[in-house]
Amino acid sequence: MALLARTGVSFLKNAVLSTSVRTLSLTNKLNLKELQERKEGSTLVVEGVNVPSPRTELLIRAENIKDLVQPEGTPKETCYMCALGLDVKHTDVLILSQFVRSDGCMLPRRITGLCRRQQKKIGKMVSMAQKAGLMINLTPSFCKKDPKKRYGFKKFNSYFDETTIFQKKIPTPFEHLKNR
Amino acid sequence: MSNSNLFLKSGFVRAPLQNGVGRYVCQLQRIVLKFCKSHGGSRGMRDFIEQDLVDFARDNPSVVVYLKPRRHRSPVVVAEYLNGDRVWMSMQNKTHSEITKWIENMRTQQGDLSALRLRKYQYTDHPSIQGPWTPFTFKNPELNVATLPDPKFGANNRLPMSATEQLRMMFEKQSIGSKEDTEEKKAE
Amino acid sequence: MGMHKPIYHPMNDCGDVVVCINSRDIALRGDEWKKRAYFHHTGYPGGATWTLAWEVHNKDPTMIIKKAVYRSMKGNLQRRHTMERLLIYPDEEVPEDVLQNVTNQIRQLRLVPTRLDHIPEDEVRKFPKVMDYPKDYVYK
Repeated sequence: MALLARTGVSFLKNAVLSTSVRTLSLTNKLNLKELQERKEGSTLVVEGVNVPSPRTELLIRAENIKDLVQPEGTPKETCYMCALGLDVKHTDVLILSQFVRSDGCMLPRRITGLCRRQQKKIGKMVSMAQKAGLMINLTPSFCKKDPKKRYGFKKFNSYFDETTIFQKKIPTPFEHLKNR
Repeated sequence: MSNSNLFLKSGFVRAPLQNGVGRYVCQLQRIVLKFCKSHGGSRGMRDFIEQDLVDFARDNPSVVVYLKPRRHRSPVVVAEYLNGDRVWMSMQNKTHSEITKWIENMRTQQGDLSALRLRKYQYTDHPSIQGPWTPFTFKNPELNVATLPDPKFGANNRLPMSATEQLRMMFEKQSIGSKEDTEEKKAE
Repeated sequence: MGMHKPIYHPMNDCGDVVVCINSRDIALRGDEWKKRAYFHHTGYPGGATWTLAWEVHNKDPTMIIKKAVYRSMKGNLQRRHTMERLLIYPDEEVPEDVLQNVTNQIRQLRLVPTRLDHIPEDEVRKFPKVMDYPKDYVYK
């Protein structure tokens, strides 16, 4: 009987999950093609055109800002984040959430187009923000969303120091005081 | 504060009646010199009496000087002042010049200053018009009516601008710049 | 003790009292919650205990602040008396008689970060973007 019930549950779960978790759509949002018709003489040409991404309107690039344009001859920055020269902290969730999938996972470098250093830095800061519970709407579905409901030490607030990202040995507070 | 100071007279730093600003009233009223005629401990005192005492009495007509020879006793000076203070001082084994200086000191001081605990180290005849400092001077008067805690007074207002805010400003600059560019092109 | 005040005198009592609220919501840096240990010894052999910060905070939400302040002071006879002037409350509930006498507020060191789900969705969408997806990206 128990076996029967279990198989029934698993069957149900499969049925539910197959509809809810599988969100992959065949017509991906950014690869949407638009059909355009035009006449060239007597022939009708039908063409598929890429739809621009919703981000292009809001995109910021250092070369478009007059104050940030470097004079000729200066060594070129390696990527667009280096060129902007922002001091991003792990609390700047509006910036960090742009580099993240809908499940809160950091995007790979071939998609973000960052340099190695920035990719590493932003990846670390994304995980800091996730640990601090600042981006709980961008988490996997099995995650306990509210940080207060997490287990043990994880339910208490924590903050992070961005200077520790590229440090091999993280100084304890006591050592830090001694060096001052 | 140690126990020995418990019975000290306490007072404030002040000049009585601005003595010496217009006229000077000698605060020393009476001085009594006790000494022995034979002992060596009184030798300096005897020298002082022989050489300087007459001059001292002549120069200070307002001071009453008593001499009390006391057989086989150590020499002592007792000075009495206008405010009722009485200063007792042993002159045992002191030399002539030391005694001259001590007596000069007693003549010019205003009372028993060495045995006075100063309650405060400051004194003024002209207290401040603004009033003394209180914990509320130089404080924002808005705090008087505010209900605390209030994020207006509690938030940190000295932090540098966050990257989020900076990016917003950059975006505005970029959009303004692009607008100018299109206008220039139109003008051409 | 109020030694910074112009009206200070050893014979008057002009020190301030500090009221600390919401001590339950304090944030520790990094993994301090599980790495920081508080040592206690009962005095008997084998009486040493090391309690982790999150365990201490579970037991008493005011203890970590109290210990931090206590340790930051000089270990002299004044320390216990100065500690009497620190009132810590785990949440915003402060006794009325204490709240009446509060006249000033100490500014916080760090800003409390805003969570992404507390920012309105429209603002998130309109926020200027740094990164654009490549042309062939399949959005997930």
